[in-house]
Amino acid sequence: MTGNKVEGLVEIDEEEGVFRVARRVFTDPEILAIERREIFDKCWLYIGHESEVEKSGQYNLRMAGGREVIFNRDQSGKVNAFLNSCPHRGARLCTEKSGSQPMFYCYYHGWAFGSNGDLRKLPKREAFAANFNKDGSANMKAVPRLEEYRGFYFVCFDPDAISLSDYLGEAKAYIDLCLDQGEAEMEIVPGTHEYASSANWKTVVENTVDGNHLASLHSSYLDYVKKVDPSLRAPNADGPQTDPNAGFQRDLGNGHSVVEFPVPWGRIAGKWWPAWGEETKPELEANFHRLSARLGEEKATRIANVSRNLIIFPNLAIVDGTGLTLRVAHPDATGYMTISSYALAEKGESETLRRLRLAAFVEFLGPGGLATPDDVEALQQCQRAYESQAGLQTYNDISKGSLTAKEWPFDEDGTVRCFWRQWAERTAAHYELAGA
Amino acid sequence: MKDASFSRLDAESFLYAEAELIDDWKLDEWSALFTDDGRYLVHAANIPLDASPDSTLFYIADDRLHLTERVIRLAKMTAFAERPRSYVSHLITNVRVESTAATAIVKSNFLVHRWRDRTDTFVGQAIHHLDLSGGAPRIATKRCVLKTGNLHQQERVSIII
Repeated sequence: MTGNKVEGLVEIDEEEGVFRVARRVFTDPEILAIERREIFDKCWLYIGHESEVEKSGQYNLRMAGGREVIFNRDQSGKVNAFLNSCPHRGARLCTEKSGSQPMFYCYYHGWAFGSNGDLRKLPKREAFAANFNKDGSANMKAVPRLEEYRGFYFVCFDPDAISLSDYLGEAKAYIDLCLDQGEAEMEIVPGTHEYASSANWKTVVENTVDGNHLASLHSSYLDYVKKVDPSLRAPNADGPQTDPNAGFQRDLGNGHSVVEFPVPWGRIAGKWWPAWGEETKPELEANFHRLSARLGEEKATRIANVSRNLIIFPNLAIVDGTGLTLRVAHPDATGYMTISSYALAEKGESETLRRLRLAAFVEFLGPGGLATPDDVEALQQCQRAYESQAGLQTYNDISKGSLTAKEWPFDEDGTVRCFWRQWAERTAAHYELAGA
Repeated sequence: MKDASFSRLDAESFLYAEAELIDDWKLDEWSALFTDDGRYLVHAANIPLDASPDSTLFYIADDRLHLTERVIRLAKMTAFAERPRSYVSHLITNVRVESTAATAIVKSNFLVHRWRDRTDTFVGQAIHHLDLSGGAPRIATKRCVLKTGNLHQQERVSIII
C-alpha cells in the first residue's frame, strides 16, 4: 500500500468515497501469473464434498488453481488429494472424471500405485537401485494440505498456510446456516454443470455477491416470479418480508463475504411458493415445523425465508437460494474461465423435495437457466470492453455504499469491495506497475 | 393410430418443421407442439439416458410451465443473452423411428449452429417421444443429449436446441 492507494490497481479514496479497480487486472497475463502464485498457491481451494468419496476407492478429478487433482478415499478410509500425474514422467494417472478403483495405473510405463498413493508396482524392479523410493519420492505427490469443514474438502498448496478453520473464520457461521437446513447430512446430486465464460475468473466472483445487479440484469426472471405470485407486486406489511432489497451484505474477513436477502421464491428448507403447486404445500410446511422444533422459530425463519450468496475467497461461491449450489470459477486464462457447479441436497429427502430442489436450481442457475445465461453474457461483454478499451476507460467503479462500513444494504458494492481489498493485499506488493 | 403407420418420412417431416420454427424464432408455435405435460430436457453425454431430471442435475429440465416461461422470456428485450437474437440453424440427420404405437420414439442426430457475436455448435442426439393419439403428432418429451461432456466451448445454452 502507498498511502491509501494499492499500487494503482485498486484505488481507495475514503475521503472522496471513491473505490476503483484498474481494468488491467482482468487482462494482464502478468497479473494472472501473480494470482496463481500469490492467491491460488496460498489460499484454501475447494475441491469436493465428502459424499463424492463415500466409499473406499472412490475418486473424482478436480481442478484446483490450474492443477488437476485426484480427490479420493483410499482403502484405509482416508481422504486424499494427489496431483493427477505419474511421479515417473508425468502422464495422467486417471483419465475418467470419476470412478472407483483400488489402484492407480500409469498407462505410459506401467507404474502402479495404491489408492493411498504408494508405489506398488515398478516394472523390472531389479534394474533399480535397492533403495529406490526409500524417500517416497516415487509415490504419487499429495497436495501439501487437505482439510475439511462440515464435509467440504479444501486443498492448499502452501504447507505453511493457516488452518482451514482459521482461514474460513467468520464464514463458518454462514456455511452452518446453509447446512443446518436439514437434519441429515448433505450430498452432491449426480450431474455437474461444467460450463465457461469468456471472461476473467474474478468477474463471476464479484457477480455472486453483487446484489446490485438483480433488479436490472435479471428483470426477465423477476417478471416470472411476479407472475407466479401476484401478491408480491404489493408490499405486504403484515406478512413475511419477501423483497430482496430488505437484505444486507456483510464483510466476513479474509476476503469472504455474504449477501443475505429475503426472497419471493420458494425455499426447500421450508418456504413454499405457488410455482411448486398446492399439493406440495403440506410437505414444505412440515419441513419448516421440523426446522423450527430443532433450532427455534427465529433461526428457522432466517434459514428458510432468507437466501444467502456466500463467497469463500478466492473462487468458491455457495449459493443458498432456491436450491443449494456450490460454484467454482477456475482461472484458466485472463479472458476465459471454466466453471464447475454442483447441487447439494439433504440425504434421504423425499422424491418431491429432491424434484423441487433440482427444478428450482435449473430454473434460475446454470448454463440453460432463465437467469445465468444473462450473467454469462454480461461478463463476456465487460471482458471485451476491458480488452479493447485499455488506456481509454481504465477503471471499474465499485464506490456504491460506505467505504468504511462492514455491513451494507443489499444493493450496494460493499461485498465486492471485500473481495478486492483481499485481492489487493495478496497481489499488489508483487506487481510493478510498468509504464503506469 | 396403428403400428408402423408413422414412417421415417413422417418423422423427418415433423422434425424439419419443428426445426424451422426454432430457427425462425417462432417459439410460441414451437412450444405449442408440446403436450400439456410435455417436457424439454437438455443434458450432457455423461448423464445416462435413463436418468431422470427429478434426481439428476440437467442443463435444462423444463416442464410445461418452464417451457412456456422460457419462450416468454426469449421474446423479451430483457433476455440479454439472446439480444440481439442469434442466427440458429438446425441440421438434422440419422432419423430413426424406434417404435410406433400411441407414442412414437424418434431418434435423430443434430448439429445446431449458433451465430451472433461468436460461433457455437451444439452436436448431439435428440430423442422425441411423440404422442400420436390425436390428429397431429405432439411432443411428450424432447430429450437432447449434447455429445460434449461439458459446455467449455459453447459456455451456455441460451437458444432452443
